[in-house]
Amino acid sequence: MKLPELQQHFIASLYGESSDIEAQVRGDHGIGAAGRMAIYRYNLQAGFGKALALEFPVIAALCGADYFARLAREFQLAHPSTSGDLHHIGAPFPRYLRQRFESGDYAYFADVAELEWAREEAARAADGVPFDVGTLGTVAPEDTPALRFAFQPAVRLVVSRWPILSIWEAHQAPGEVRPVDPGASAGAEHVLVRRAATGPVLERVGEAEFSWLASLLRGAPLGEAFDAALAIDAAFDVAMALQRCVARGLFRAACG
Amino acid sequence: MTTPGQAPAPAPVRAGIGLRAPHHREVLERAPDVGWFEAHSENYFADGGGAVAALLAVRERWPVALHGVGLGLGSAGPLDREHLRKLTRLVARVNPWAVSEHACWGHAGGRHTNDLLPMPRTAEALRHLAGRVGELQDALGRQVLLENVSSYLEFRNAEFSEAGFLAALVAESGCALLLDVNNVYVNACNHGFDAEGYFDELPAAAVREIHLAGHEVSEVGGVGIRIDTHDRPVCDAVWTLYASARRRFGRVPTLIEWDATLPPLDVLVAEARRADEVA
Repeated sequence: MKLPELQQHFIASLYGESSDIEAQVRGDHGIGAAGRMAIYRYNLQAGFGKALALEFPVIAALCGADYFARLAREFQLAHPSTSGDLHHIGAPFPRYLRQRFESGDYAYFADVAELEWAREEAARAADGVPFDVGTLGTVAPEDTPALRFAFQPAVRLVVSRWPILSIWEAHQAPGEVRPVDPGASAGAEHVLVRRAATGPVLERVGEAEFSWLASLLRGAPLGEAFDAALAIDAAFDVAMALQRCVARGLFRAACG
Repeated sequence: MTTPGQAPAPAPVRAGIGLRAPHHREVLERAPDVGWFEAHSENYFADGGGAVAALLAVRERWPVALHGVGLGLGSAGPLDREHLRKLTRLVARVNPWAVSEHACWGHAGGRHTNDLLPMPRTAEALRHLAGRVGELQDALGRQVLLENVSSYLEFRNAEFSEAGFLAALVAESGCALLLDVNNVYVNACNHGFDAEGYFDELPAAAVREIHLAGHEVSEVGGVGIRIDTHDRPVCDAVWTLYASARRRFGRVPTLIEWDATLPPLDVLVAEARRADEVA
C-alpha cells in the first residue's frame, strides 16, 4: 500500500470510520493489530482532551473530568485538529458549546468558554507598542469627536447575560471554588480582556463603557462612541473613560 | 534577530532539561545549574506574550535547542507553510544551537493527530521523508536533527529495519540524528529487537544529541507494552543503554525530557546531573 493511502486508512481508523489499516499492521508479540491501533486512538483522544482542558480550565472544572473528556471527544469528532500546533484547537469550541447547549442549564458554558478563549488570545497576541499620550494634547477641541484609536493586539471584549467573570474568578483559587449561580437573575457581565506585564488581565466594566470601548475597537470615531454610551448612561464620563484606557495601556495610536 | 543560514550557536557540554511553561518563572529567578534548555517549538509560536519573552530571556543565559513536535514531516499531505513560517521566525529569534523534528508523520486529509506516528519503512516513504527534511533544511538554511520515535506497531511492508531507515534518511537528506535512547529501549522491548544492534546500524558521526525520558509499562489484553509517557524518571535499563550510547557516540548534548505530571524543577536538575555523571 502506498504512503498516502496507508495514512488515510490510519486516520480513518483513529476516527472509527474504517478498520482497513489493520491488514497492514503486524499483530505480533501477543497484541493484535486492533489492540495496537487502540493505543493510538487512546493517545489521540487523551492528548486532544488534555490540550483542550489547558485552554478551557474553567469549563473543564465546571464539567468534571469524566464529562469533559466525553465532551472533548464529541468536539474532536466535529472539529479535528487542523494544525500541527495544538494551540489552535480551542478556536471553534465556544461556538460548538453554543450549539451543543443551545438552551437549558448549561447555555452559559459557551460564554464562559468565549471568555477563556479571549484570555488565551490575549496571552498570545503580538507585543504592544507604548502609546504616546502627548498626541492627545495636540488635538484641537473641535477635532476631538473625529478621533479614532488603534488598540493593542491583546485587547478583547466579551459580554454575556450571565456573570461569566464571577464564574471565572470563582475557579482561580485552587481548592476553594465558591459556586456562582449562573441564573439570569445574577446579572449580565461586561468584560475587558487585556495584557499587562504579568500576563492577561480580565476586568469588569460598566455597560456604557463597554459599549464605548466596543465602538472604538470597531474603529468608530470618539464622538459616535460617546453618543452610543450616553444612550445607555446619560452620566457617562468620557474624560474618565479615556484616562482609564490610557492607564490600562489599551491604545496603540490615535489618529484624527 | 539572526537570519536563516547564520552559524548556529555552539553546542552545550553538560546535560540540559526541557523548558516547560510552569517552570518559566522559577528558571529565570533561580537559574538552575544545567547545561542548556530545549523548548518545544510550537509552544513558542505565539506572536508575542509571556512565553516567548521567557524563552528569549532563557536564551540570554543558556544555550537553547528548538524541538518541533508538529510538522509531521513524513505525512504525504502538503507541508504546512504557515507552520514552517512560524518555525523560521522562531529560529531567527532564538538562534538555537540545534533545531530538531521527528522521523514520523502526523496528519492526512487535513486531520492532524498531533502525535508522532510511525513511518512505514519503505523506500517510497524514505524518499518522501528525505524530501521533506530537505525542504525544512532549505527553509531554515541549516542542518536539522531527526529523532527516532517510540512506536506501538509496525507495518507489514517494512523494507528497512528502524535503524537502517534512519541511516538511509541521513544519507539521503544530509540531516543529523537526535537519538532518543528511551525510544530505542521502548521499541526494542515492544518489537523485539536488540538495542545494541540498533546502535551498530546508525551512522555514529550523525548522532548530535541524545534524549532521555521515562516511560510506563501498560497492558493490552494482558500483554505488556511500553508506552512513552515522559511522566517519570528515566528507568535503570535506559541509564545502562545511555552509558553504552555515550561510549559509541561521544559526549553529545543530552536532554532530560519530562512533559506530563511535571515534577519540581529540582527533580529535573538532579536527573540532568545524573546524566553528566555517566562516563
